[in-house]
Amino acid sequence: MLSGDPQVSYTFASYFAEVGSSFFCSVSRAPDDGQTNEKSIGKARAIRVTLDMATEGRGTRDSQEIGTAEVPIDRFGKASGDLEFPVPADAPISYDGQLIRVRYTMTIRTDTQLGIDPKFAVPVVVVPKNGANSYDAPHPLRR
Amino acid sequence: MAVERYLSPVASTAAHSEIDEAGGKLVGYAVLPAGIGTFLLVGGIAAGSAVLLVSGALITILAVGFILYYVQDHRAWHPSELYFDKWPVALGATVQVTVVRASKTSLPERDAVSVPGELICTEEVTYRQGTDTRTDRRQVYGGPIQVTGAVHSNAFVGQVGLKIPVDFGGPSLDLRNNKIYWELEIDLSEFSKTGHNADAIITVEPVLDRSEARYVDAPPPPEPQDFGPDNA
Repeated sequence: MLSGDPQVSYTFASYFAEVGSSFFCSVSRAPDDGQTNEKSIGKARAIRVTLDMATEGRGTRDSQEIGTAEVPIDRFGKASGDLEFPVPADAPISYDGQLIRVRYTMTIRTDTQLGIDPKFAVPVVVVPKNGANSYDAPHPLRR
Repeated sequence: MAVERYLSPVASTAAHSEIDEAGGKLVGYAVLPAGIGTFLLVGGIAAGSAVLLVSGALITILAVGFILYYVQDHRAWHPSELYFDKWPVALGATVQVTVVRASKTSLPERDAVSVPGELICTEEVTYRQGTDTRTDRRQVYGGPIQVTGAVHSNAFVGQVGLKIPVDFGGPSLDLRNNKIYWELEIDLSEFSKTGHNADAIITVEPVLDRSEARYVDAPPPPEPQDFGPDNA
């Protein structure tokens, strides 16, 4: 069972994006039903979405925040917004090598006034330019 | 054959690596033996030993002779030059590379000369182990190539078409602890016995050549990963 905010839902236009293009994400939050929000996670203020790149594998981890955006939550606990995360043209692509893996993650976090922010992470894939329809997994291409 | 393509930045890298390689060989094969020979020669004179004297003199003469031959051979050539018709290079693209090895003296004309080489992709990582910083490298692609050309006037000019594979390695990556790089190594020892190779680092950009574009069905949406409060 996920420990993210159960009132938050999200959709992505695509989980794959070329370098130099963008990820598009819609997030929304269902209004509070009276007590649930206050009791379970404290007063929610915003949905903060972050796109991060990080390496995995034998080497020391290199990581970088690519972009962040947030959608404010109203006093009824409701929120809705469309977000865009541009991927720089010179950003590393998602990669599955022998010593190195490069991973991108979209983290959807509910910023709460009290308590620990509930969050969950969605893996996304950055592919080379011109590769939008050519990949179903990180580079290298499988023959 | 006229070379009218622009000189890519890698040519200077090749020249530097040549100098390093040449210096290393010179020290290993000649300077150290010359030192040992001189030591034996002086020791032989001081001790009055004919065996030491003769062997020391022999080693010294051979080593000095090698140094003279090496320096003369090395100075007879200009640094190798590599020209790429595309720079940087896309994944899956074929790039035409021209190799020029020019001598300062005239060379016998030769047609249909072929020299070997290799295209290599390496992953390099650094990590801490205790108080040490360690580096690991793994060759994830190595493909032999043949450069074909001819010797005219005073230069060998050869060409090779390099295809950057899409199913091995990845675009050039230069992060603090994680790197991916492509190297082109061409063995030009056929023209100079003192070890003149043309080596270059090739910049591969995160672009898929259109010839490699294809259509695959999009995979199902990924499962979100659990990041509970304990992992926050």
